[in-house]
Amino acid sequence: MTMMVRGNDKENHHAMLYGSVLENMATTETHEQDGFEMATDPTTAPVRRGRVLGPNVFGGARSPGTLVSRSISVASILVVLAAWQVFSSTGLVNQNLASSPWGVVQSFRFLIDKGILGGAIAASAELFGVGLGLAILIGAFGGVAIGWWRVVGSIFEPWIAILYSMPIIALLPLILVWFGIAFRSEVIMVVLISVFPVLVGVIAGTRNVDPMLIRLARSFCGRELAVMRTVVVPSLVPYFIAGVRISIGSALVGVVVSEYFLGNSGIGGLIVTAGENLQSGQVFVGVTILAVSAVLMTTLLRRIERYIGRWQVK
Amino acid sequence: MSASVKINNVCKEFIAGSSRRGIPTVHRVLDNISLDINPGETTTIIGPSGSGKSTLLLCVAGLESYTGKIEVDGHCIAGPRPDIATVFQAPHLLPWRTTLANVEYGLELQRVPPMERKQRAERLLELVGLTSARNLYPAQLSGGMQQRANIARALAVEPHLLLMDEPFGALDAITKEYLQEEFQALVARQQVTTVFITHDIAEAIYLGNRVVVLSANPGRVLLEQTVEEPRPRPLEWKQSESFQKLSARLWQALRVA
Repeated sequence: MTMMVRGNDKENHHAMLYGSVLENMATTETHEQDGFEMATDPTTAPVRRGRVLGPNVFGGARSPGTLVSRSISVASILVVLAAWQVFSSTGLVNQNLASSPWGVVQSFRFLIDKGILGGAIAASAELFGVGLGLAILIGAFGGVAIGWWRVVGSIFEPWIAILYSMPIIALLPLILVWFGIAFRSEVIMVVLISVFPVLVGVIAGTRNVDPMLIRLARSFCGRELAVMRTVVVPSLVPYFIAGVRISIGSALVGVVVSEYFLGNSGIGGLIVTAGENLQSGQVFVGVTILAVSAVLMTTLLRRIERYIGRWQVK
Repeated sequence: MSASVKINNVCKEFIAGSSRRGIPTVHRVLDNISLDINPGETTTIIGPSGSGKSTLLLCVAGLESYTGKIEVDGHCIAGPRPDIATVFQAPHLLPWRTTLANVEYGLELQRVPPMERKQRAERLLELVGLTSARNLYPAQLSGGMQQRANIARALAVEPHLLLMDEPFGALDAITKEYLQEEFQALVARQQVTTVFITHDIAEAIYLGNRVVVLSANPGRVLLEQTVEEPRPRPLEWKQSESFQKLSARLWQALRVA
């Protein structure tokens, strides 16, 4: 299947990010005309059952399931942590600047005991949730509207092209001036940074809906809303999820940046303060929490994707 | 539940080229097509590519504009109608729906209540021999099974007129014959008026009560050939002398088309 992604280079680039999704979709269309041996009786027909495709956490690795490759991955992390600890304990690196795994654990305890960490996580989670939630809502509904109605597309697409190409962080001083140091400024920043992957993905998905399926729905007298619900929405789900996956990462960037500059609160604020006080261990606590939550969220999302996309049988 | 179809002086033109630079070229696809199709009959339309046979079918389905007059059961065609079902060449099953849900799809769009929808779909699945595949997704079905599901979906809405656009065109020869035999028996039993587009002479004769030959560029009716053989027809009939004679006549007609 050739995936045609219309629109500007940005969209094409975006579609490339979606490689895995497009491949998944492509595999569903390869079995069209090979029905010879199965035409007689469906009960005896061999039916392809298979694992639902899904990219794994470690991007390139092809066989994530095997015990050997899993063990190597775990070992890789353990070796780096051990080396870090050894270098730090033997004084090969400055313990105050580099900290150490054990030092990070101690900082973690300290931050919990002081009651700092819980509050920081809650603050960041709230900002992340509100920001990404808004971004997803705007991206999903806006994307369908822009992709489906040409006029709407003509109005908004130049703005999307401009904003998606530029580093949104450059707008931060303006947001600070217009909305002040407040939660709303942080939310606006997170939304601005994370809305475009979902938005552009949904636009591309809406435009890639198989026109033959739309004609089919119309031939059964389907009304526009019914066509949207039964054809357009289901076929853009993979694009939507691929967009959300990228948006999660962007939203985390947005959260940290906003907290650095607009509120000095949450995990981002904790990291900045710790850095200013040369508390490397605390910086690593914050960084680790960001990394772990990012991995957890992408894993959860892949589970959801696998469940929704269970029709994409290999 | 079988409709009559009256096609009167139907023309269809596509405008090619932009009007910005001089006169746009008008490409005539259908030229004064007139056909009367009797209730319960299967009319097969055969023609070389470029004869506009698919376009004619889309016009009857209400999916293309046209000039002239097309009446189905006395209703002038100006858009899709719930009593007309169309089967396209590719199965066009919704990949995220199971076979059963796909067969229910037309009924769902026509707002048939869920319970009745399911019953009717189950019955059709049985009719086309797909009951055991009811919970499989299209990607798990062979090409032949997908096309059966496609036909079941169309028949589920209990159409008075069934429009088929080369539905077996992309299947291998053996699957194709098998489905042809099942299909003509099914349509004869259900007494549904059928218009069937094909580019396969044997298929046109085997399935049709009447074969219409169209010419290419533009599409005109060259020949209308009645096929007297009563339905259902065994596949062996294809080997008979009467079949061969019809085949030779249509072949001659298509050579000049």
